[in-house]
Amino acid sequence: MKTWCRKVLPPEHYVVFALLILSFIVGMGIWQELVYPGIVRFPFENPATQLALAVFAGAYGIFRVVAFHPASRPDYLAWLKTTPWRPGLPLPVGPLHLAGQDVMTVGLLMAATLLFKDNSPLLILQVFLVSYLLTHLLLLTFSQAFHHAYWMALLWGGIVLLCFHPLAQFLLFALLYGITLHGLRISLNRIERWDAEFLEKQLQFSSDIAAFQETKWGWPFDSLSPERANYVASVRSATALSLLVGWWSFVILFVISSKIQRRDLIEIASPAGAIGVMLVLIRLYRYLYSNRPPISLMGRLLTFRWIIPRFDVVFVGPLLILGVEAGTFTLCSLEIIPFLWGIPVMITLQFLIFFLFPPSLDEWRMTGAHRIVPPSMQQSKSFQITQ
Amino acid sequence: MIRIAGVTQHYGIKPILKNISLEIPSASRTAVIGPNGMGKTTLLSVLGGVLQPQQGFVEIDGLQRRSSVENELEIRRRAVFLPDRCFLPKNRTGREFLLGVGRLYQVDEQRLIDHSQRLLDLFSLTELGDSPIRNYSAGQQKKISLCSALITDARYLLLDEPFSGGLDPAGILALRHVLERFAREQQRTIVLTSPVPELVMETADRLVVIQHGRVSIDATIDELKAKSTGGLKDLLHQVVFPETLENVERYFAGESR
Repeated sequence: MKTWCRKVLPPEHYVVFALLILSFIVGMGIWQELVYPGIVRFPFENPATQLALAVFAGAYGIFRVVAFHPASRPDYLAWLKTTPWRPGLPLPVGPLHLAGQDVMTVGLLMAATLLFKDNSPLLILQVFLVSYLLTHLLLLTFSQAFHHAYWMALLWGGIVLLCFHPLAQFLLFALLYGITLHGLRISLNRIERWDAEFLEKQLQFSSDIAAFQETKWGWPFDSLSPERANYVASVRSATALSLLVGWWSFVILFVISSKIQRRDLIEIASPAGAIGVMLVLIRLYRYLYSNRPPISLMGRLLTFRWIIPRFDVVFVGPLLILGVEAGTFTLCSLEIIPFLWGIPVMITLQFLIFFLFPPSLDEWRMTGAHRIVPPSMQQSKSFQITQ
Repeated sequence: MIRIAGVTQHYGIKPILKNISLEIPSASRTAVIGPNGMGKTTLLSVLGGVLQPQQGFVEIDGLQRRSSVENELEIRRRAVFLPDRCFLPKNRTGREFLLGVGRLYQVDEQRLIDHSQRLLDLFSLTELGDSPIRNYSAGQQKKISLCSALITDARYLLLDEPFSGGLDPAGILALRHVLERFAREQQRTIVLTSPVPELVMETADRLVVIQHGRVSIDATIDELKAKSTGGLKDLLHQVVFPETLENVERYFAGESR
C-alpha cells in the first residue's frame, strides 16, 4: 500500500503534514459542533471546511502535473534526455495521467465533505479537475503542443457556461482529459525538440524587461540591423487568437447576463471599450516606438503636406479599431444587435485588425516614410551614450 | 555603388538638403565635409536609412532604400551606419557587445570570435575587452563603437564623424589605415563625414563638400589637387570656410561688419 501510494503522492512528510492540517480543520469543525450547547446533529454545520477541502483538492491537482511533467522540471527533462527512456514508455518519476491513487485522494477529500452540512463533494471534484487540467493546459503550451492547448482553451469556455449543469460539465471534463492525454502523447513524442532554455525562462517567470534588455545592443544596431521583427503573427495564429478572445468575452458576458438586468449589462459591457483603446495604444507604441514622423507638425502644416500617406498609414488600423467600437456600441444601444453577441464580435474584429491590418510591423519598419530615432528606453540607465 | 537621386530633406520648414544628386563609386573612400549645420549628418542619415527623404531616393548596389522589405533587409546586410553618438549597452563587456552586433549581422560565429579579438587588439582595447562598457573612457567608447561597425563585415561603411568623440592619435592612425586598406584590398566603400578637412584629406580619395544643403564640390582628391594652385588645404579652406579667414583678418585689423 505504501509503495503503491508513493508512486503518485507527495513525499511522506508532506502527506503527514497535509493530513495533520486536514484533521485539524475537520476536527475543529466537529469540535465546534460538539461544544455548542444544544442537540448535536449530523452532518455537522460548518460550511468553512468546504473552502479548506477545496484548497487541498486544487493544490493536489496542480501537484499532480507539476511534480511529474518534464516540461515543469528542467533538471528532470535534462536527465530524461540522457536515459534510454523513449516516448511510449512510462515516465520514470511517475504517471501524468490520472491513477488509482488520485481516485483515493480526491475520494477521501470528497468523503470529508459528507461530514458537514452544505458541503458539496461535487465541488471538490470540480476544483481538482480544474486545477489538474488547467496546469496541463499551461504545460502543453510550454511544451509547444499549441493545437491541443488552443482547443482546450476554447473548451474551457464550455466548462464555465455549463457550471450549472454538472452532468454536461463532467462530460466536457472527460473530453478535456482526452485532449490532454492526446496532447501529452504528441508533445512527449517531440521531447527531443523541446527548448530547455525557453522552458526554464517560462518557469522562472523572468522579468520581460530584463529579457528584453538582454537582447538589446543599443543604437543604431537594434533599429537598423538586418533582422525582422521578433514577433510576427501569422494570419492563422492571429485569427485563432482573435476568435479565442471573442469566445471568452462571450462566455463572460453570458455568465454575467444570466444574473443581471439588460440595463445593467450595458454598464458592465462598457468597460469592454477599454480593450479597444488598449489595443490602439499597444499598436501605436509598437509602430511608433522608435519611428517618428518624417517632418515636424509645424513643417507639415506650413508646407501643406497635411497627409503623408506612407507615414499616416500607421494610424488607419487604430482608427478602424475605434470605429468598430463606436459602431458596435451604437448598434447595441439602438438594440439593432444584442450586446451579448455584439461585444464578442467587436472584440474579435478589434483583435483581427490589431494583428493583421497592414502594414505589418516588418513592412512598416523597412518601408515606412518615418524617421528612425534612438528608442527612449535605450536612453535609460542601461545604455551609455557616446560623446 | 551608392546613388543619391534628387534628395531633398527637411525636418520643419527649412530644407537641410536641397535636391542633392551624387554617385559614390564602389571601393572609394568618400569624405563628406562642410561647416557645422550644413547637412553632412543629414546626408549620411539618409544614406544610412535613418531618414526617409521628402523627395528623391538612395540606391545601394541598385537596390532602392525602403522600396520593399527584401530590398531594405539586403541593403542593411550590405551597409552599416554608425552615427556620431551611439548608445552602448553599458553593462555588457566590449567583447560581448561586438559578438552581439556581429550575430545581428549574421557573421559566421568562428570568424566573429577571431575578428572581435583582432579588433580589440587593433584599438588597444585588449585588456578592457572583458570589462563592462561603463568602465570605458569616452575615447574607448568611441573605439568600441567603431569596432562594432567593423565587426559587421558590411561592404559599405557609413561613418558619421568617426574621428571625433575623444579618439586618441593612435586610434585615428589605426582607423585611417584600416579604412584605406578596406577600400584598397577588400573593395569596400567608405563614406565618412568630418567638419575638419585636414583630418580626412589623408583618409579619403574623394571629397564631397556640402554647403547650405547643396553639393558645392564633388571630386576626387587628385582632381582637386590638379585644380588648386596654392595647395589642397588652402583650396578646401577657401571653399569650406570662405568667411573664416576674412573674419580673422578683420579681427586683427580692428574692423567689424
